[in-house]
Amino acid sequence: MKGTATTLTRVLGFCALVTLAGTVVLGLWTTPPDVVQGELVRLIYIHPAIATMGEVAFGVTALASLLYLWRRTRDRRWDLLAGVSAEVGVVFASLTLVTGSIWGRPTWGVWWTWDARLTTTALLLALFLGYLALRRVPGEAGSRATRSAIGGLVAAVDVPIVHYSVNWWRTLHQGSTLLRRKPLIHGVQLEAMLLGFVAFALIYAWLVVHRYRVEDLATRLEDRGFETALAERRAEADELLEVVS
Amino acid sequence: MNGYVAAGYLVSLSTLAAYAGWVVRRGRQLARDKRRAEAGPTP
Amino acid sequence: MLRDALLVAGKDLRIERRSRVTTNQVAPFAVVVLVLFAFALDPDRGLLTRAAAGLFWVAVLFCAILAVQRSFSVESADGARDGLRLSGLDPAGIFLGKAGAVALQLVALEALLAAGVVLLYGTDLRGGVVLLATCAAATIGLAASGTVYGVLSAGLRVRETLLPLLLLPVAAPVLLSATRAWEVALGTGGAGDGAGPWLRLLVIFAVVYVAFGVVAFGALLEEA
Repeated sequence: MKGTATTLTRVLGFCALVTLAGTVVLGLWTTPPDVVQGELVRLIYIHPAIATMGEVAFGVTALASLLYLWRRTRDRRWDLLAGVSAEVGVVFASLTLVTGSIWGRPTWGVWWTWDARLTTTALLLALFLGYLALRRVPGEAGSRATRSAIGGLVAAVDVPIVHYSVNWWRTLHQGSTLLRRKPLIHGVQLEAMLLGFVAFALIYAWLVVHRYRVEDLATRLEDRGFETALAERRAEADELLEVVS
Repeated sequence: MNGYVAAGYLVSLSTLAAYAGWVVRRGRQLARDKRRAEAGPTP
Repeated sequence: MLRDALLVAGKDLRIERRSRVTTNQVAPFAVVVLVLFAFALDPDRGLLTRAAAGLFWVAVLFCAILAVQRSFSVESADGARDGLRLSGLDPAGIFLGKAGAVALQLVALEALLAAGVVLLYGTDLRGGVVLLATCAAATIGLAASGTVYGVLSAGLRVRETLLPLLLLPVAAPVLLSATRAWEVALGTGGAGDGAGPWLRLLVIFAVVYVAFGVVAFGALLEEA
């Protein structure tokens, strides 16, 4: 095995690349400019998809934390998955803010505005950055996993509260374009947007699988290194004892 | 092409590519370390 | 459980009374923060009076971090955590006791800060019931979420920097809701739906984190 790739991830990665290329071609060239938004509508083919995958990633973290804490399903794999998904989620959430900002500048005239969805996303990002910082604190594996799982849940429980409080506070973001009775966009635009969702979902899956394997390898190597060091020290002690006796 | 649109696509794709590249490189490095560890200590 | 809670809260408050950290360090800190806000926002332009609600709650949030940190640093010395763990007290009781002690200190600090806001910013404290209800709900929420994160980061070497990073985003809805509720009461905010939804949100936050702490504290105390 050369790295963390397997046939599954190669197929997954290939599909992700193809759909992503399709999204880019459809989004940047095939689709017409919008009547209202002009060229800027092209960001709609990636921005909501990235944002959704960020939210899905944090949902996976919360679920995996819960499964780890529940004694009957306790397994270090859930802990690994929670951490890995949060990390990928942080990447997606950051990109959500960046692409949103890039769209907001020409549309609203400002890079940042205290709009409900923007603020919620920013707080979500801060919550999970804290979670990742908590995970990075070294410690005994089991207690670190429990600590992280509870920390992840505390953060996840906060998400709906943040959502409602910020929503009451401000609302300026345009409503969801897709999830309406009659979607606002049609034809090739809708196809581009849906393809974007597929592409970023595949990218998320690919990243999580690879990152999971990397994390798994890293912890195993760490354990092994610890055991080797322990065995060496024991051998030294035995030698010393022999010399003494 | 609109500059904002190009910047948005460029930032998103390059960030994801960089992250994916880092993950793959780290995986290769760890796999190599693991092979070495399994081969045992070099005499 | 309640008896254990009272026991732990009594112990923490007794430590505070003897060590006087809250009165001699946190309370002056709160006042200094209020004065710093006055430097940052020109007092002559009426900004301070209009922003008083928000500034008050930001100061409370800072004090909450200090109070929580203090609440767990007294447990870190002499293996007091192990003593607590082995004491046979109900973990839920320990949680309620520690959170209760933090909440009581916060109430005292809020009273001080409110006096400071009146004296320094010229705020007229109107709408007393809403103000008090907001304080009660927000304080319980802050104390509960703070205590959960406090024990989470208690045994760690990086706790001083980790706790604010963990607690501040989680407590952001409290800051937001409490500030809006106070603005409604003080009449400094824009026209809104009144303080009702904000108070409701604060109560929900408090209930959620008290429940969370009661359920999860045992696991945290054992493993962390």
